[in-house]
Amino acid sequence: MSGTSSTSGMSSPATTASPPASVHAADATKEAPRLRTPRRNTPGRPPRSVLLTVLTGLVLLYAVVPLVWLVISATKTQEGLAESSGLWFGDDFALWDNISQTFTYNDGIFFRWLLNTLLYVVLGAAWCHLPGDPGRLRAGEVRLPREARGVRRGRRCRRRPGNRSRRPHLPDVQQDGSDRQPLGGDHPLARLALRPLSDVGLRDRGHPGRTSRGRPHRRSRMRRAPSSRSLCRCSPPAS
Amino acid sequence: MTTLQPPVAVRRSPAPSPPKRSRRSWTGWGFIGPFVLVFALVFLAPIVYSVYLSLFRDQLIGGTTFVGLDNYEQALKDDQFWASLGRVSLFLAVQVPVMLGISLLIALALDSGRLYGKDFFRIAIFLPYAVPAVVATLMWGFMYGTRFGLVGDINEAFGITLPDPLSTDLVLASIGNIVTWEFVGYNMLIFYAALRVIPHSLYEAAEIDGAGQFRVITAIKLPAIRGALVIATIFSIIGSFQLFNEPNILRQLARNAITTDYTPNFYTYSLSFNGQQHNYSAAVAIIMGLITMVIAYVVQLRGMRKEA
Repeated sequence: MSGTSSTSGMSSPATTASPPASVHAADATKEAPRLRTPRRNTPGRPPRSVLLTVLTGLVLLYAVVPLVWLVISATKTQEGLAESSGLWFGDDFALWDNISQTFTYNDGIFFRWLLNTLLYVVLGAAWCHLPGDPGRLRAGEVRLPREARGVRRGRRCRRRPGNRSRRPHLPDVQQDGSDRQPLGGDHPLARLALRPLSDVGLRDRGHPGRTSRGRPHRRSRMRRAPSSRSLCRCSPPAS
Repeated sequence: MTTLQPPVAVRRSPAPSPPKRSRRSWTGWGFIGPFVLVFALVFLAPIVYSVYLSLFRDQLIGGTTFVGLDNYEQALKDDQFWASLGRVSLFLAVQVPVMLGISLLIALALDSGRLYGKDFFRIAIFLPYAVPAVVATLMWGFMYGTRFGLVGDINEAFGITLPDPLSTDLVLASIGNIVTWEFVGYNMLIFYAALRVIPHSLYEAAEIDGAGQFRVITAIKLPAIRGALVIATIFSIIGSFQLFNEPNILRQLARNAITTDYTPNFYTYSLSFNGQQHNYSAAVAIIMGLITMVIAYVVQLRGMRKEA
């Protein structure tokens, strides 16, 4: 992994060189508590943040206030709409009037519109899915010549150098934190934890022929190790 | 020939090799056949017909005549067309980054698990997407009104005079606001869905490595959702170039600010249905389609190339 991390664009030389001895010393003192209290900050249950909630609340207001305006306006008469403030109810409450006006408009043409919408939804969905779904099935199951070629290309025993950085891992985290890794890099636990870093098999970045089959990211680990796959697929039959 | 060992290894190997199929299997075509048929009928045929239309010209004197690429030449020299293209390009350059930026921030906030009432935020911010574009535009159009709308209310309440959002200078920004309002939640959901499938083990590993929240975002989350970012960008680019509903409806309220050639789509619409210049309109539409395709493709190539 150290070999691959150097090729990544994410690693900056500054961060790799920066950790001074003091950091190392400071971390040595922190080492014990870190091992004991990892649960306090587990990714699953981080502490709630009021500030973040308030900031997100601004966008929430942006999204919701116009809808509030819409609902409130629906309760007003034409005159009330012009006179009263938009964000609060006026003196008139004409919601039921407005609704009944909608339904009786032009001899209840609104129901005809509803029916049209229903027709459109049902037929549209059918029209969209009947021809499309077999195609999607094909994309998942049947391989066309092109895809087959793509898989063959992946049959190389060893990764080519250019392929390395394709798999994103966490080089900078690992690199600039390498001094302060609480567990040694060779510790089995650390290896277990670090392994997925090189296995972020992002579905959308691989070859389409490979990704469409929904291969679990574990497979890519197998390919990385020069073991099973190279045995089965790379041995040239001619030799 | 004499070595028997490699085949044995093949059989023992735990990696299940994909089932052997004929490389030239026609089964696949049986599956995509219906789709290809419909695709040809509703997608390719109209395009071919537009191309055909665009090669002719309908004149009062002489009737319909074949003119070759004259329509295209005319379109490329058409100031109205370029002005409309400039407008949507400006729109694209400003509105799309703002919208996607907000969406991304919200998605990251939701995904961080540090919000109170996360589910409420998610559904409420997505709500505007459920409002039809026509209704949304009408609604904002009413709110933009300086005399009867929300802007007028604010002016009255605070005794100030806000600039008219429907004036010539500001109407593009107003349209951008409407589109942003509509699609922030949609893009947020795309990003959020992409964030949810990141394996948790990565975060645990990052924590062991001592990565902070910011580092986790830049080193894990953003790279992991790059595909979603590219897709959302492409959707937004296409949406910007196809801008039509919003200016068309707002035109009822701002006749002077929004001309009938405000966006390329609006221009082709006006040419075809008000000007009866079907042939020229088809040429403009095809040029616009090509431009959109090229830009979307460039974005996709760039987005995918960065992974290396």
